[in-house]
Amino acid sequence: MHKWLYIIIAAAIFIFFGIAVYQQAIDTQSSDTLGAENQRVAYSPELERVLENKMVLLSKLLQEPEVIQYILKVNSQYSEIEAEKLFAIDKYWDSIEDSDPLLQLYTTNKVAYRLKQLQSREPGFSEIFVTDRHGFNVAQTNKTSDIYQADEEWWQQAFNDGEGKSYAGLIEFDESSLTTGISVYVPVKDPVTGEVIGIAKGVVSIEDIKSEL
Amino acid sequence: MDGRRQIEVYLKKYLGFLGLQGKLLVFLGFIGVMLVALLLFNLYSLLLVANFSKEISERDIALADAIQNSLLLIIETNTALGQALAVRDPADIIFFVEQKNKVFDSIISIESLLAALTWGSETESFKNANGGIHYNVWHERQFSERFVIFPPSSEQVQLAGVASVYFGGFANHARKTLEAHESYIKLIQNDTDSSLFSSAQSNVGTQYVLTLRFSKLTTEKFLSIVEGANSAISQKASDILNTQRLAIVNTSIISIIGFIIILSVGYIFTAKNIIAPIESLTAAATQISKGDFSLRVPVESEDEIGALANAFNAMTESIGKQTSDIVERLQHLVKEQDTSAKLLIRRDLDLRKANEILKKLDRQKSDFLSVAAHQLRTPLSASKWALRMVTDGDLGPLTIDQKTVLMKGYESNERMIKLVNELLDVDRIASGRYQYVFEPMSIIDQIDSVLVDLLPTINKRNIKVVFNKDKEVPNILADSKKLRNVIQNLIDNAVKYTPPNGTVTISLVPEGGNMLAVSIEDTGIGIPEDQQGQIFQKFFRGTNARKLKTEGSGLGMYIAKEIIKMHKGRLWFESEEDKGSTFTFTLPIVRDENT
Repeated sequence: MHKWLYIIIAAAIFIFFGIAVYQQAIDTQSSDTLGAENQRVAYSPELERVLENKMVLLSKLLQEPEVIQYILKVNSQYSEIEAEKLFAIDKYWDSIEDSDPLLQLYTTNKVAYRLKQLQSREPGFSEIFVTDRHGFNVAQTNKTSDIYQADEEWWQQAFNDGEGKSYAGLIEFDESSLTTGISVYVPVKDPVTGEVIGIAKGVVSIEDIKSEL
Repeated sequence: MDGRRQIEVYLKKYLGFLGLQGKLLVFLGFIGVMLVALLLFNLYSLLLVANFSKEISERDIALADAIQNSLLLIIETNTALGQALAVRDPADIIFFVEQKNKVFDSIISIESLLAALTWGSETESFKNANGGIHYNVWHERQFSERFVIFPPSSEQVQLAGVASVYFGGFANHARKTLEAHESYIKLIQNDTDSSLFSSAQSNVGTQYVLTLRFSKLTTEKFLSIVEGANSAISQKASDILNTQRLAIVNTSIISIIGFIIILSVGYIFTAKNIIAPIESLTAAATQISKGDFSLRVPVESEDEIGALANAFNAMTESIGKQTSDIVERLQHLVKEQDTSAKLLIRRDLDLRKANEILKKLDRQKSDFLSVAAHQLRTPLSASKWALRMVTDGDLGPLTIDQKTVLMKGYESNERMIKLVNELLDVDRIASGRYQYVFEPMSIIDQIDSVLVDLLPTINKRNIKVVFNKDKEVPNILADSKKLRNVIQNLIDNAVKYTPPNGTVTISLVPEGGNMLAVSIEDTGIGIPEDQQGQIFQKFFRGTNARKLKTEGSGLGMYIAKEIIKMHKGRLWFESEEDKGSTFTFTLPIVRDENT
């Protein structure tokens, strides 16, 4: 007698929550239909050309032997212990000061120097940084929000399973600086082996793009 | 089971509900929860519909409205640009400048609208972006009063972003076109070389083509946003329909399930809490009515039914105990009765034996009396006659002394004969051998005859006898000899126990229609009250009668009573000590004889 009662009540609760969850799913589905993140709005040829130019500029810099050697060296120094340390740093990276010596290591090395030179020549680049083949930052012009990028979709797309792929991303809106920009992603390749040894990301400001259109 | 009891105890203790009431309340509470769930679900559906409707009206329509306005502005800009480019006469330079300003003005408006589309018109980002320029324009040009743009979806952000990039291109090239055209006008004004003309003209053309190209690209993106808004509207409209459909379906499902659950729970509730215990009580009651008092109803709850079961069990126990007590007592009584019955049977046997002995003794006594009387009578009669002959002087003269002695002997003999006769009468009465011969006769004659016989005694005692004779006294039916015996006995007693100078009155009174009452009243010693009940017993004599030293066997009254009884009459008396007695008897009248 009791068993049946419990079964009926349990079934009722199950059905009720089932309906509620189904309802919720439909509800969220309706608001998610517009949220296809990977679907990039098609750019006009004029815009593509401007972005292509930016990628070429970045790519040229990344082919400099000095830059390649530095990245190769960082790659060769990679070990699991080193990665552990870097993950630990990544956790508190967001809170470190601009004057922090650790940040200086990334913003004042040879590659960073070259990046900054490019930036001063091409003010459209509001930010440039380069990672090694594991996704850890190697050099950067500004302080980034983190130093491990391999977990991000853009990095994986540019790494392209070791093949490497240059492309321009979505328009990005930076709520903190209230600027908008389009990022370009360029793989760094070993000229000898053709292997991808790092990924570079450059953020081009919209205002600069507009002026070049 | 324990959990359920705990709940019952909790309800009782903390909420004050009684058992069944509490359970019913829990059940109703369950129904209430179902109803509330249904209500909440429907409210939720309504809220969804309302929310979609609100979004459509506030968000999507407003967005479409703002974009429509932007498109109008682009058209206006293009128109103004076209009109500015149409100016070729340096004299129209003012118009050109007006149109040019119009173009720049529109560009500022569209940039503001684009920024609002990108950030949302009410956001902090919009307020602060580009140093607040766009936000200021938004307010100065009263867009804030006409449009509210909600923070956009990610696709809209991309579209708005790209549109603003293209519009940047448009603005760039529009500016360059106007600048080129202005230089062209200046060339005309200065009448410069015609070769410069064509190069300036082609420069204007190139810029204008690019301007139009970016205008088109911007418009396309705006249209994409409108499309997005439209599809959002249609999506939401279909969501509303879906929600409505779901609400109907779900309400029906929940209602049906709820109905089934309420029915099931109701059924189980009544079956478990009311019907089952009552059935088990009924079964127990039936069993107990058959005499099985050992049965107990299982008590499964703390509620009223449980209390009833407890009371029922207590009642059964009490009845069982009382019944077994009664049975025990009955058994005891039966045993006692058995013993008594045995005793009684034995006593009965003893009594019967004793009775037989007594009967035998009585028979022997009667036999003895009969034999003795018969044997006594003959010699007594012989003695009587012998004494009579002697006293009568048949055997020679006697002296007075001799005669006196012999007379005493004679009288004693007479008394003996009388006693023997009475004993014989009693014996005959007892043995049923007393024979009656009834015949009509005159009672007066009988009384008179007795009075004549008793006259010597009456005279001797100086008693006054009054006989109230009625002339029309009817004849009676009687055995004359035996009746005479009765009358003689009664009058003799009256005379004997009445002191000298007393009176004896004899009266005849008809009793009813068929009987005649004869009463003999005296003024004698009477019968003591305490002895009146014994007067008709054999051998009884009153204590005052004995004191008088009168003769008497105590058998006379017994015999008289028996004789009158055999005449179908009645003999009774009324008496008061020292005042007198009245003896009365009745006899049947012979009517036919008179008529």
